[in-house]
Amino acid sequence: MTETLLTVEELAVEFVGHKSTVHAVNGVNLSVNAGEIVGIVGESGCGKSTAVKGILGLLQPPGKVTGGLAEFAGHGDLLAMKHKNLRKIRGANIGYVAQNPFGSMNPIFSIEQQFRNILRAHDELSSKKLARERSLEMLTNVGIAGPARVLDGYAHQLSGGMAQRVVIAMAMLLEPDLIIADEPTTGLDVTVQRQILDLLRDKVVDSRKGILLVTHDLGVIAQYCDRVVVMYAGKVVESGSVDTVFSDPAHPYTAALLGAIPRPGHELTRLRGSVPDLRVVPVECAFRQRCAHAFDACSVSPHLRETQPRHLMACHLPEGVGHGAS
Amino acid sequence: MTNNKVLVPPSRKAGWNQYFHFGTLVAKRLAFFIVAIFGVLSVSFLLVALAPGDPARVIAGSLATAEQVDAIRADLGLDQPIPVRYVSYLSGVFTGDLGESYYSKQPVITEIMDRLPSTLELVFLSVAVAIVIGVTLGTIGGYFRGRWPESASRGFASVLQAIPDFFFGLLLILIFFFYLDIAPAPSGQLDILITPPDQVTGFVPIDALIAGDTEAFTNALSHLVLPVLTLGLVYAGYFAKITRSSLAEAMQSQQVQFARASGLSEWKTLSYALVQTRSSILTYAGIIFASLFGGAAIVETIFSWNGLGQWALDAILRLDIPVIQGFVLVAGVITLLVYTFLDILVAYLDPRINYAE
Amino acid sequence: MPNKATRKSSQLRDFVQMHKVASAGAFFIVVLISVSLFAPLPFDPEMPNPGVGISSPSASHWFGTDITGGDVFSRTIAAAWIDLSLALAGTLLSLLIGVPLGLATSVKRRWSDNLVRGMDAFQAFPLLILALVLVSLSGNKLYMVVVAIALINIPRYMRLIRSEVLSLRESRFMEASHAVGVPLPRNLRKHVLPNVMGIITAQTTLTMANAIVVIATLSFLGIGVVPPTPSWGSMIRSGSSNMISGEWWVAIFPGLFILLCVLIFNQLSDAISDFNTRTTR
Repeated sequence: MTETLLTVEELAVEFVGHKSTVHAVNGVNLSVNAGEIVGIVGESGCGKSTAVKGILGLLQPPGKVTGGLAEFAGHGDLLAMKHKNLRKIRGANIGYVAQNPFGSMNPIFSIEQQFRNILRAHDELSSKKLARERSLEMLTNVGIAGPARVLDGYAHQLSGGMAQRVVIAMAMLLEPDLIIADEPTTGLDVTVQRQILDLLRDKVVDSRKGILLVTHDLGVIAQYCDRVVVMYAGKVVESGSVDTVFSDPAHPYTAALLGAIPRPGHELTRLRGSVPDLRVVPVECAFRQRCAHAFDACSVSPHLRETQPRHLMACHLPEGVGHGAS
Repeated sequence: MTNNKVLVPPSRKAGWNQYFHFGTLVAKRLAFFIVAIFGVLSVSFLLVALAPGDPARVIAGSLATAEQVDAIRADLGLDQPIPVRYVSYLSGVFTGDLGESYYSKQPVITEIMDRLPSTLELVFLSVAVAIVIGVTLGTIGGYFRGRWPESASRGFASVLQAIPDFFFGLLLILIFFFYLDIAPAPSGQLDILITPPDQVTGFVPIDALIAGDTEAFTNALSHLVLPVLTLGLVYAGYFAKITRSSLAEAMQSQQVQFARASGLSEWKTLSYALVQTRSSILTYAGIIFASLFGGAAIVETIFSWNGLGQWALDAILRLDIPVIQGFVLVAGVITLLVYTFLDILVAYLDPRINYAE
Repeated sequence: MPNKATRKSSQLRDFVQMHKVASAGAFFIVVLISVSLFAPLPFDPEMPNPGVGISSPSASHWFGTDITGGDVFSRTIAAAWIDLSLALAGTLLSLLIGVPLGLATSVKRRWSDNLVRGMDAFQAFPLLILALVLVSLSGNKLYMVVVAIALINIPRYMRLIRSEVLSLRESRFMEASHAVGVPLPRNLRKHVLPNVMGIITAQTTLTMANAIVVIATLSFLGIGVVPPTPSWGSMIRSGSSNMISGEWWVAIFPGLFILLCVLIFNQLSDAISDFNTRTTR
């Protein structure tokens, strides 16, 4: 029986400016079950990072969540709960790994201090000795030999890959059930990328956790994720298992994305136009202007519906659009 | 298939390497310090020697005859060529002889040592108060960015920065001494009727404590309040401004985001952001301390504080050249000391410099 | 067809719209100077009136009178153009010397680094004291006040310009422009100068604020602008002994005017910096 860790419905995020409001996220629906890796993919600016930050309540003004719910197993709606309850969940039940590992760590405090602060924030292990033991254990767990040296040192002494491992160790310190990783490998060397992703995957497989992985890299999705959520202009346009979506994409955008992957012998599909202006609340389908299959019904924004078992997509075309030979 | 590749941290050379790097920084600063002191000496001499105007004439007064003025000039050694005066000045400094005041005839060095503690006490406490008030004000403004506390903090800090310190001192005297009758009269470091304690350190409150004279002690403290508040509040504005802008930026950083995402409390998160502003605040503290050293002169005068600044001010108005030179020298030395000390302190506190590979 | 004149005026309009408070302040300064220079004052600012003696604010003397019977209001307003124009002169001198010096020291890195370090050491001095020495030793000539203001503020301009130009020179677009073969002087003129102008303007208003305080401090000490010429600083001085016995109006009004002018220039500086960052992106 797969346990659902996170369910997000109709998440909406706005950035209120002086003259206009940007509707950055406008209908995100997804779920993460225990033991699986769900990937959110979309081009830069489609709102995937914003959505994920919105779930955790990490948005800073002028951004704020304006609708939807995020049900976290056994704890209720993250978007509706009081700050002190949300704070307890962060770190302890949901871990977060961001893109730039050096951005996440404080350059002035030692690594050990930062680990201890996390433990103390959740009232765990107040003894310095025990905290250190647990931290060392965690560092070894993420594949660092000589953890004592790292623990006693500072962030700037680490390489990119090491730093991200340390951040993952911090995120997993309290053994959260769900880890949200927002582009955790962008900017790292390709070999290091694989190591980090392998590490994350191991944790899920080993202990029935779930990972919500945000990335713009389709290759990463294909190799590491069980299910995928495709976002465009602030909405989820398609979601399902990686196998089905990649071999038989239903939404025109997904098809275009996949068609844009260079393959020998195939022409690149071109996608005309550009992303719509998010300052305007979309009434019609956001993809309409660029879609080769647009027709009358597309003047109303489509909702997500199930075309095949557990394969959802938001398009008025009855069966979506086929991809053809893969 | 798991890839359990295990990573080893980059090897560090023998542990003392990190101290070596910090040590070179200290050495460089000290070398610069010595060179700069020499520069200060030279400039303080040149400044007065080359400034327009004829001190002998001013001292003699407008009714003096030419012979009298010449006599004064010769007596003060002002008729010697500049290089000769320069050398005698330098050699004097190295033997601790800074000359004598034209007016009091006392050795300049003695007058300096008498007054130095008073000014140090005033400036040090003022900077401390300025930091406490300013950083608090700035933190409020930086944390609540975009909301009303920020505007309030900004407004308050602007007004504080815009008030000339001597005017503010007068204002405080008016309000707290005249109208509210809480503060003592601006009659210096102690009430006129109280006997000052024996000089041990030169700092009046401390000497009073040492002598066990509680009345003098409390009196000295009460006289400190208004001048320290004057300078402290006016300069709090600068600290508020710099804290607010650094903090506002730090609160938007990814570090703060990760701290929140890890479940740290808002207070802890704020401390993560504040610790990043530490270097700027310290550097600023040094600059303000150094500039207040001479800059407190007018406030000292208003409160009859009898510190170095007031002494120098009187000397300037009387063209008491050895005193002016002595003051410029002391001020320059103190400034350099403070800058050098703070440079080293900031480097020490920043692990990126202290523990550079 | 938009030309330079219309672009400048539309920039001004944008600025006023974005920063209403600061612009109002600037307008106030202009009004103050004009009134001070041209408008007839109720009483002669330099003529004492011993018969009246010191009196608190009233219908005929809005700001009261000082110990010589002089009308505080007239003296305060009359002092405005003196103090402000001196401040302006000092600011202009700082600009005229500081900007070219700043540009000159940003051309070649090596030797100018040492010069800058010398400047830093120079700033180790209590500059106000230096100013005092200069002005009093010269026998209170007004032009020395201007020179003193310049001495205090020139290092700031140099540092500012130098750091801005150096960072601009090492930026990508300069690299690109140079790579395409644009000669250096034109590079400087078309790319560096516009960016630097904004910073210079912001710093100029700050210098004005500083200059006002320096002038007031000097005249408070009896140096620079001396009685009977009205100056805010000397008015505070003469009013300070009155303050302690409760006759606050003699010193408070000039002080408030100083505070107001400094505040306005500080706000203007913030507004200009803000405007710069918003319009150069």
